Amino acid sequence: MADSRDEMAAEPGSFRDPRGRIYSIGERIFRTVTAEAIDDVRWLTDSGYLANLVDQGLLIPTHPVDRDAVSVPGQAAALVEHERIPFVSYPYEWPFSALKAAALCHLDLHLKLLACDGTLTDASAYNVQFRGSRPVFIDLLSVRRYVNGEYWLGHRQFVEQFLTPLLLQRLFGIPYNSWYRGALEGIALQDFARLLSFRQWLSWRLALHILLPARLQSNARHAAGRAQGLAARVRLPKARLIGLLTGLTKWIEQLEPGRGAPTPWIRYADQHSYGGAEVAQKRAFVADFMARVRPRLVLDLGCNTGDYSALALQSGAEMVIGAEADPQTADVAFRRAVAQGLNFLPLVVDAANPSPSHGWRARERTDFVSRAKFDALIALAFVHHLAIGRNVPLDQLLIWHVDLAPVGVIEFVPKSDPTVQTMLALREDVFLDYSDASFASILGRLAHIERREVISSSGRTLYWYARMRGSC
Amino acid sequence: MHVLAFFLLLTGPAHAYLDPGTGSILVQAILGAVSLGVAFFRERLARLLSFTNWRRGKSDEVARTKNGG
Repeated sequence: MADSRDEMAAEPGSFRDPRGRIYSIGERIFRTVTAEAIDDVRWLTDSGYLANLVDQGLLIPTHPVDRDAVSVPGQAAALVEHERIPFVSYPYEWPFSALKAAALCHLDLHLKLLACDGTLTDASAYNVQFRGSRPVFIDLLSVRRYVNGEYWLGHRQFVEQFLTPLLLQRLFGIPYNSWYRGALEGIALQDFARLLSFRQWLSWRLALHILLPARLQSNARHAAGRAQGLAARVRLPKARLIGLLTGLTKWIEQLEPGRGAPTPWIRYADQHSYGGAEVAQKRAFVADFMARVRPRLVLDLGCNTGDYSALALQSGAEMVIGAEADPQTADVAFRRAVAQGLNFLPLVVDAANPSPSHGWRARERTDFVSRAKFDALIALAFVHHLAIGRNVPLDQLLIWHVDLAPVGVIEFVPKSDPTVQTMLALREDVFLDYSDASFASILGRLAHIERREVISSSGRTLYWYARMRGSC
Repeated sequence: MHVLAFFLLLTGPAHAYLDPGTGSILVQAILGAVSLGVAFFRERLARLLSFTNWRRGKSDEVARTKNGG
């Protein structure tokens, strides 16, 4: 709910660093810079480093704006404008390869900054966003000049927000997304250290970045005097800091998702229950929809490995956000997006439990659905997973779908289809209203049905809807 | 808490909004100390080597002088 006091308030997630705030005004994104931060920003812009890092795709395009040209509250010494990220996503929604790409982007930027006597004040994964499948660093005020011999203040944050989540998947085959979403700040060093076996203690990398900091943290009160004395005399040489970052880069580069049996969804595209001609008919329907609507931002619900997201992009869509509940499948989709250079960002999102608004005042991180206005929706071979698999009533399900975007294509999979038959094999059929007739009737009350086409011998049907004005 | 406050002071108040974690900072202090130790040892070793080289150089010179004379 909009609060009138917040009409011109800063973005709810930008309160931590007092040196500036983010304001979203219309389609434009502004950042205020306080007097404390102005020297660092001037150093970055005047030296040409900012332009260089933007050209390399590491930093979000940024340019200074006349302070009086835009009305933002507060005492800002300067104002800059950033390129808008088409869809803000959070690390707990990223598949493994996306979190890995974000970690490497962060390290790469830090190393390049050190080469020109700059550094990063923190290592928050939330400071990385994606344009398609390409990561980019968005927090200008995290960049400042390096002070000779200083410690890497963001080390623990980097480990907890990038490294321990990746290692949870790599070493134990457990997707980090739920844990990360609950904790918001990543997976705590000490929690992760407790999972490691004695054999894993022998890894010098785990010892250096996780076990030793976790152990010293818990003993910090006892070691206080000795630590004070040590740190007063000892600085961290720049070469050692570069060595830490380079070592982490090499380690993370070779991390793969590792253990965990492949889920059925990865092979779903090859094993679905209808034939080649039927697939061709379905693809032609979706391609025609995209070519006529030419949406800027598409939501692909249940995107699987991204077959139809790729088709949407080929047929006229500008960018696709994929929502896929299975982390392994979303990871395959992400790697496909990278390999094919697609403007496609598949995220780990369960439609029956999408990311909520949470964090400070329950507004720091916004819920998945209200984060952007999607221009079009595709939900192909998906509704039965919610209706039958998760017992969501058909009317609620369709209201939610139609609310997501003004136009879209939804596939209805009837009970006669082998997939639904399998889902019902071991349970009682309590879904008395789950039929094509009631689907069409409910959808018809919410939207105009522009086109309807049966695409399989089992009775799968595609519905092209256009939301009625004023509905939802 | 004293340690934490100390480290925050050490790194300057302008960007002290992030708690760096005492354990993580201590590990870096150890790395710094190791670097310092290695540098010290290297310097001593270099001095020792240059000293022996100097001695050897000196004795070679003496031998050459004797042979030449």
